[in-house]
Amino acid sequence: MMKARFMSEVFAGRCALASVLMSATLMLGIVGAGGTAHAASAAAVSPEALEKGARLFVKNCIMCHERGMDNPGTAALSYLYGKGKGALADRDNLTPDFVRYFVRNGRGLMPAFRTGELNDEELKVLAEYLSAGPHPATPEK
Amino acid sequence: MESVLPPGIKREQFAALLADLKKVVGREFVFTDTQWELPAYNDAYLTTPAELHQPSAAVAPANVEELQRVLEVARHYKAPLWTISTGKNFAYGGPAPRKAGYIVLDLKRMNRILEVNEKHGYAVVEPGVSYMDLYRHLQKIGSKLWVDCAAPGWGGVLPNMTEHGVGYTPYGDHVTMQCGMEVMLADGTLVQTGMGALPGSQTNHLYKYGLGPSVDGLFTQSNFGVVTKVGMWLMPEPPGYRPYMITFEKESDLHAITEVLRPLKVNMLIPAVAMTVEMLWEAAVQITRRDYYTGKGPIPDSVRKKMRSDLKIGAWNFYGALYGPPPMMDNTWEVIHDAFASIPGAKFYFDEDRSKDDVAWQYRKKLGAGIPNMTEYNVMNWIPNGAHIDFSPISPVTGADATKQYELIRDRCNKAGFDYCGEFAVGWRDMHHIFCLTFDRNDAKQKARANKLFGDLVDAAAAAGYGEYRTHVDFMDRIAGTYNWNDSALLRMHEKVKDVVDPSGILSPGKMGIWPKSMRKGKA
Ligand SMILES: Cc1cc2nc3c(=O)[nH]c(=O)nc-3n(C[C@H](O)[C@H](O)[C@H](O)COP(=O)(O)OP(=O)(O)OC[C@H]3O[C@@H](n4cnc5c(N)ncnc54)[C@H](O)[C@@H]3O)c2cc1C
Ligand code: HEC
Repeated sequence: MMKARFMSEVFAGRCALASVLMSATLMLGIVGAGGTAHAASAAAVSPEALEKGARLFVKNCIMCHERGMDNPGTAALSYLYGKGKGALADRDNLTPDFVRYFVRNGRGLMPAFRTGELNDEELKVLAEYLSAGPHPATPEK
Repeated sequence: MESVLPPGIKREQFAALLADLKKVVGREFVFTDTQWELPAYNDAYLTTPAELHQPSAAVAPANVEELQRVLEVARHYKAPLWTISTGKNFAYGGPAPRKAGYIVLDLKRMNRILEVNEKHGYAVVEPGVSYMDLYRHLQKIGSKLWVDCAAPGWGGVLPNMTEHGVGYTPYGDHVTMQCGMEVMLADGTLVQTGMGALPGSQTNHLYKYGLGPSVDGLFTQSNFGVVTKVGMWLMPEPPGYRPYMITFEKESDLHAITEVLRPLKVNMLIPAVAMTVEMLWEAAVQITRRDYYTGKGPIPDSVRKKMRSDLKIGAWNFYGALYGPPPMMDNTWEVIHDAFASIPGAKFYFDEDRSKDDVAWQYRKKLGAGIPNMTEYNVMNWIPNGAHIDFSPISPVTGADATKQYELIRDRCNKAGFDYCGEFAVGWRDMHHIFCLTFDRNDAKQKARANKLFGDLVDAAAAAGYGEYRTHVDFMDRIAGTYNWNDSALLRMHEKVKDVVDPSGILSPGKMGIWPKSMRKGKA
């Protein structure tokens, strides 16, 4: 399963990253056991919020996270989690807190996003959209 | 991250200053939270400790009226601001201020596209408009105008121009394509330059110079004002676009490529910025170092050979494009082809000859037609936790200079234990050599080595008569210090101007080595 692979690869390959993730995990409890957090958050999101989240994803993230190795986010995550597993829209194990943490703090070559360009309310909607994945049909750019 | 104060300002004053800023822009647009708000103003790719550039706060006005009042508050407290627009100046400092404690003046919210003029081919934009925003807008309204974007599509149309940035269509020299500017001075005065100074002007974005001195350049790479609006000429979609790639076998071919290229550029047969890209750049955007080599130090030649054959690339890879009606493109191609065919081993490719999965070709193809994307950020995926800063000296377009620069950087780079990854971008008469110095952002020793290497390169390049076209916040003083002809007459002139236009010294102190009087002593 993706989550197991995610953690084991992180520990095997990238110690520095692992410690960042560990502290994030401890601090926020972001990687819940068995994906219950995902199930709970997905149920609460309205179709309007999902559509808004999708739009924000396209505006802010897709240039690095669209499917395909020409997108640096997807490429980096494929190197981490395995080929074909790099696209954020295909993930079934993201949680709002996890997304929020990385968007506000950045990691690797992904710089953090400023509140002035993506405010907290927008980030909440965006994070809920991603947490309700997978989204097989990501919207057009 | 601990909170910091603006230089020279006490805690109580700072609290009062923040309260005043909140009155101007609203509570939600003054940022001070060190866990959730201020980390995003760090430079993710620093070679120095983040504390050196940590802002005390950030403020994001929504329009020129709010901006005017923000400047008033800053003058009152003598608080240093650091202007950013889209804030993606990565490889040169990102959104991070020159020194710790500055308040970042974040103009991202001023993001209106004020005009698209289809007939005359221009757009007028505010500071926060990214290439991606403008491109999507043009698509939406069915415009036949092209954007010319820097490689990172999330960069800003206005700030990339003010940084003297470059793109990859025939409109790639952004400063040349700028026409009409609105700028706010530190005292809050709003100025229209050029034809815009004439009330009701019909030609604000059609003729650059107006009457009297042409001053737009004073506000690029500077801290003399805050640019709030610019006109940018946009290229009409040509009747045909045919990008091509030419690969060369030998490292030493750089000399011949550059010699062949110069007359083709000067005579405008190659209209866009012409790129000669070293193989590692091509590799880094699509594979990782560990796929091929896990040893320490620069990758050996045998490994480079293997990569080249796997990726079907040369030691050097030339990118250009034909634009225009097909018969014109056919004729031009004949000249270009024959010129480069004089170099033994040259191989020629068009779109149909390169694979759909060839990441390097695909993104260059997009850039040549002004389609914004982020693929080039992949260069940092070359190593785990990769980050990079760019060293970018300018040289004449000759084989001897290209080779000298390449060797100067490659040898020092290898000695410091890094892989050389670079490209040469030829504009009208100049050549930008972009050396992408990639390091592991989690390895303090490597960062220190990268920092030292960068400084050594500045000195070595200056000694050979080459200066850099822009630079990272950490190296602004050092590089400004190399432009020191006649007892630093130019820098002294900049300082005189600074003292007159910004006597309180609030605007981006230290930008490109220009400090206000109050901060001139004890420069970093
Ligand atoms: C992988 C990679 C590839 C790159 N390729 C290119 C490339 O092809 N071409 C290129 O040009 N660059 C390139 N860069 C460098 C850089 O990322 C871009 O130039 C980017 O567009 C700059 O950021 P920005 O547009 O968001 O400007 P900002 O970060 O908003 O501003 C940059 C600077 O301009 C000044 N400034 C900003 N706004 C104003 C204003 N309103 N008034 C006065 N001064 C202001 C400030 O000093 C500020 O620090 C590359 C970087 C990376 C990491
Ligand atoms: C400049 C390119 C870029 C942009 C833009 C970008 N990202 Fe990323 N993102 C990356 C990269 C690269 C990584 C992998 C970082 C690493 O190597 O550790 C990443 C990782 C992530 C992760 C961690 C995933 C995991 O499980 O490890 C999340 C979550 C994320 N991004 C969300 C976003 C969101 C949401 C946006 C838009 C607001 C966004 N990103 C915009 C490049 C980008």
